[in-house]
Amino acid sequence: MSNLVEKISLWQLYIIIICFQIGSATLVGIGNEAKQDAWIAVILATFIGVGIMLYYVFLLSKLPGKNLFELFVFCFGKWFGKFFTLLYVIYFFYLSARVLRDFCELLVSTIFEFTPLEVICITMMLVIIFMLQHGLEVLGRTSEVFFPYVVTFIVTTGLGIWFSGGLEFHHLQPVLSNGLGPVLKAVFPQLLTFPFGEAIAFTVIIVYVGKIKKVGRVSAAAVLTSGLLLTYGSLVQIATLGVDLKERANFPLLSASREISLLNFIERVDLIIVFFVMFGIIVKVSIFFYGGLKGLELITKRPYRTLTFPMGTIIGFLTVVISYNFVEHIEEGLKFVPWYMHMPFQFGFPAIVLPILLWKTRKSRKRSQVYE
Amino acid sequence: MRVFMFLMILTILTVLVASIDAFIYKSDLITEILKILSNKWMVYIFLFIGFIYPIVAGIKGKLQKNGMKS
Repeated sequence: MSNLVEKISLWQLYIIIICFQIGSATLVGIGNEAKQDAWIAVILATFIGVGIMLYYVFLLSKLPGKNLFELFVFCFGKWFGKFFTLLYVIYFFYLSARVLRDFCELLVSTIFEFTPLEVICITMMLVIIFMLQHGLEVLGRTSEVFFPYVVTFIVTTGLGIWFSGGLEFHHLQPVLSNGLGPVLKAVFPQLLTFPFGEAIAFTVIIVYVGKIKKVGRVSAAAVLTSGLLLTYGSLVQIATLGVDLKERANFPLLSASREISLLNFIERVDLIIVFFVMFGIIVKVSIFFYGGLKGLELITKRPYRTLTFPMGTIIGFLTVVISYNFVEHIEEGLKFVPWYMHMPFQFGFPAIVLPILLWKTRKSRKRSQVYE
Repeated sequence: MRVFMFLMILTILTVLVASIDAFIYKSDLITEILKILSNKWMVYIFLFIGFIYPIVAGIKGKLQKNGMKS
């Protein structure tokens, strides 16, 4: 079971990237620094996000069949390579705990008000452990099943608010009243690192795609699609709640969806929001968790499935202790994580790897030509 | 090896979370670690199962190997 060759199709990769990127970004609201121009910031960040994704794919294309951790070993040698891999393992596990905590806080504050947070954390983690125990293909197929519902619910939420008369487009004006400054401030580093830079986790997944040649185009299309959905979500949130309320709401899309009231019959559709956010979160936590497990597989030289349960319990524990409350959790996410964790791991290390990789691949190519 | 890896990852992640708190709230690391470690039994039992799992799997593997030999 442990030595199965895992493969996912291009369509599954496309779906997984979209679910991953809209996972917690729709939940906590993004681009708040840009005020009513948050949607412009999201559009700008999407195009930069496509560039980031293509950079990661280019990095992997230099050494086909190898994931990010194997690139580290190739570039820095066995020991330094394993050291960098361990750093990434820690980073991926920490992020999966953060993302899971986002969702647990949503559940505790909306629908499971009397359920302890740790019960939800452990239950969700057991589901994710079970899924990854069966491999990446299961994640791909599960995504295929749920993806149509996720997109449909996102689109119909906006339409439902519109038909209920909740959308007030004057909230979107004035456009760029303070120039491009606030928009750029929202893009860098917040929007670049979350959610677009987090695609660094796909440097572990892309290796398992069947048709590797088309990965660049497919992943760029997926980032564009998720950017489109995030822009749509951002527009709906601002037009429904206004800037002040959007900034103060813990979960803006959830607050916006409470405006839906059709025929005095279709009301309180926040459960639908929780459903599609839940699926996005499961995909996101699974991808980060899988990335960390593959790193440990390289370090310990044991199949990752033997480590899935023990490491899953650590993430469950970490989700509970990662912060005292939601305010502290968000504060850490805004003050510390983008600068000291996302920036070095999403842009710093890959930027160091590329020149070394180009130099080493050129060197090995020359050497093989000499032998010929 | 797996038990060592479990303990190492757990320690590193706990210290990381504590150091982030210490950085933001400008307190010392030990205080934050103690704060982190303080329904706690549910979480500790879940963690303990994760700790014991590779040990049990290892013993089971060895017993199966011995059974195959005999």
